[in-house]
Amino acid sequence: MDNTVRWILFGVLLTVNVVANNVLTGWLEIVVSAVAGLGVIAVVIDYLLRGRRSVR
Amino acid sequence: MSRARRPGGGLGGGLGGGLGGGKGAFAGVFAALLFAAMLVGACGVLLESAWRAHAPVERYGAAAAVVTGRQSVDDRVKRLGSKPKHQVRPLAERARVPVAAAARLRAVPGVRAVVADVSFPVLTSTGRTLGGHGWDSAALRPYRLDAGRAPQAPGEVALSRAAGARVGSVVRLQADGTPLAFRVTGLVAAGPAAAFFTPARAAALGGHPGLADALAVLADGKVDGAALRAAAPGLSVATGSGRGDAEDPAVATARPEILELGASFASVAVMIALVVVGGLVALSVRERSRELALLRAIGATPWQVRGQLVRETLRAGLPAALLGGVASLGLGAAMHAAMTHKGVLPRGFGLSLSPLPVLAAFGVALAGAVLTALAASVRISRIHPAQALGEAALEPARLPRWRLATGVVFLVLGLNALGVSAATTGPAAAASVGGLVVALIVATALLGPLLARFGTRLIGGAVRSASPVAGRLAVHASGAAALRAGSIITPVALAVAFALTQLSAQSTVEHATREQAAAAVRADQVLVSAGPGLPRGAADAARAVPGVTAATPVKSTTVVMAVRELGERNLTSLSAKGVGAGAEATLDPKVTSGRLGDLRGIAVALSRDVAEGQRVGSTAALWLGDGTRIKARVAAVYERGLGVGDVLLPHDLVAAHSATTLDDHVLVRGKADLRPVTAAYGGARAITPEAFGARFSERLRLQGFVSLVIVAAIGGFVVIGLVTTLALATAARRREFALLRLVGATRRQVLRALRLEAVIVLGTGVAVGCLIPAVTLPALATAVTGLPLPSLSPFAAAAVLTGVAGSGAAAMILPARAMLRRRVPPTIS
Repeated sequence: MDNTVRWILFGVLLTVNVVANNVLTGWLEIVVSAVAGLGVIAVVIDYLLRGRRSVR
Repeated sequence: MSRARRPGGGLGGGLGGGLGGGKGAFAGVFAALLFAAMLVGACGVLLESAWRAHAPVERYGAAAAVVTGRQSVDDRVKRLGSKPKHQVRPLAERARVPVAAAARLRAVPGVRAVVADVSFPVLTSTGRTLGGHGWDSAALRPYRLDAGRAPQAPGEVALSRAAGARVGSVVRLQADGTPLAFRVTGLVAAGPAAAFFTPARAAALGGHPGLADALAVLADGKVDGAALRAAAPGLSVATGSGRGDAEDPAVATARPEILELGASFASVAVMIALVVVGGLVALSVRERSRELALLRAIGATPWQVRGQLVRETLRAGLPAALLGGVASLGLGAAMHAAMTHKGVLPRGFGLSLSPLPVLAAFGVALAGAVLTALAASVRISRIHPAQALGEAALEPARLPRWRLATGVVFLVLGLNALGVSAATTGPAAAASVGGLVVALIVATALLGPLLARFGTRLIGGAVRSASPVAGRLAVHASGAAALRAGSIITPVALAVAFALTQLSAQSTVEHATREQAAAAVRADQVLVSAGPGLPRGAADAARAVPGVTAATPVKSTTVVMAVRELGERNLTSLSAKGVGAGAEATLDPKVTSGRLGDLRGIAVALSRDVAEGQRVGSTAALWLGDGTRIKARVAAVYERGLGVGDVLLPHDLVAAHSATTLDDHVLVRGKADLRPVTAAYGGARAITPEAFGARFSERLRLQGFVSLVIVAAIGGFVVIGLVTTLALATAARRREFALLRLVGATRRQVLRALRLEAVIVLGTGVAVGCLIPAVTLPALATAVTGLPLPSLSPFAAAAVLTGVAGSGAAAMILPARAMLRRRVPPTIS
């Protein structure tokens, strides 16, 4: 995965997470924001583990 | 240590000299710490003044002690997960005492007399407001007769000479009704302007028979305070300078607000000082990484290198912290003077200057300097000696892992906290936006290099197409030094984001308040007073005029109520209004449930900002202006809390528990001629709702002044830090510029490249700085007005942007112009 793709994915997931937290209510909010939030964390971990190695 | 010092002998001056950018770094750190100490110390002066402030003792000068009702309310507030907390709020109005309590005070040994003092405003026919009292109160200052004798009959009065009356003349004075005729029997000279009636007449005119504003104790010698307290259970006994607060509670009421303001201002100042000084020190360490790497390579231990850096920072920091601490007294005094001049601080709110703020400023600035120097030196001093020189030659390209991870955490937290600020309403929302901005700024500081790289890619393309040669140079320069560019972007973004958020938050709330207030008035005319207020008969008189369908007296007060803010219940002082008959016809607070017409007896209408789940028919506990606790039935919940006030109460309830019985204004429905009413009462005038709105706006603008002072002080500090950082960064690039000149670039080309680099770096900083308020302000506006449309004057926004970008560009280009001399061959030293 290219770093540009990674950062775009990061932005999209973070936006979904924030919008879900602020707009949705009830169980939908919890599910959507949790999934998107985990996605954000996953992208960062993926970048730290693999993305930076490819730069070297 | 000596080992570290000797190899660095040539660098012994350290930040103080020797190296190319050394003097600049010294001056930069010195200036930033100087202003940081000044800001912190100035907040300290405000805090200390608020802590010690008492209203001046004017009328109670001869009284040994003053007994009043308790001037504060307290309650145990339950907290989630901790013990119930004891909270205290001061009362905005006087808590009266029963005159009967004087008997027990008279029995205390040493007490000569106890005077039941009443105060009420009296309006003369010339429009002058005097303090009305009984003649027995004259002994408390003491007021001495200059001419004539004391009043003895109900129709007699003794006046201050300043009122302009002669002994024997008849004056018309208005207290609680239409003006009445009094014969002047005596004149007093010194002291606050006053009118003395017979004690019985004064008690009747004061409107609360059987109650006194205070029981003033006159004693022959010293009287035992403890004995007085024992004789007056449940009441408070003030002696010394505390007597001033019994005379005028305004200062005591303003005290907690000023304390809160000073504390929050101080914490913002400390946070910003850390960001600015931290960036500056980090930059100066990075510029010297070669030299520090050399130290490591020849055997200095990491702690020796760190110690060297801390010592050098302290060499600039010590005099800066000391000077700044002393200068902060002046800045604090200037801020106090400006706030007093604008009427933000009540009259008599004194200035206290002591060494305490100086010490605090000195300590905070030094601690900040040491912390930032240690933080900046961690990376360079931990590197393996053999690696050190290689590492120093090239700027490290990548962000450390912890920095990226922490930055992302702050970004996610900051953005998700938007939900909190959108869920809260009113002032709590404005406060939470501050925390949000801080979280996003910290994220910017941590992720700065990434943002710089992104900005270079985005703006760099445009720059390169505009100017191929110099543009390419600029893109390379900003791209190759992303870490450096990152530490420049942070203060730029900080300055822009902070100033825009503060200015816009203020103006959004002000705008919403003004609009709500205008929309809430359904009256055709408003009766207002040029003096202390309108007597209670004015509303009845207006109602009797043919063509008037409703006349509602409105009386402002302050109530204390436990309000949930961000999940915690806090005792809060809320602005409240007592509204009389016909409120449904003259006032439209946009009721969402219940009816304003049901506001009778012990009832209350709450704005949705403070209603917090209370429904119509439930019971709300609150303390009235004089500290009386009531449990009121909720009659209505409404939306326009900013414009109308958070609490509406029945007029009679408020009038019975306020300092005076006078009304603030009367809202009149119907286009009748109100001249018969205004002629009957001194100082009364009928104005249009538009003119009434303009008076209201003027008061709002005054409140906004505090936030302007804060924006100016902190914004100024950030710009100073920004300019020193940029100037230092540019000055450290002497070798790079010389090299460019040696390989054939002309002076013009180098300067042009630098200008374009300024466009890239400052452009990125300004863009990030605009992005933060673009995220936070709509959330605030939604919380305040329900619509995501913040208000900001375009002039203010333009001034902030040009101020930051302009000073930044100047700080980048001017040192370079000085370095690249004309007709001097470039050399790499």
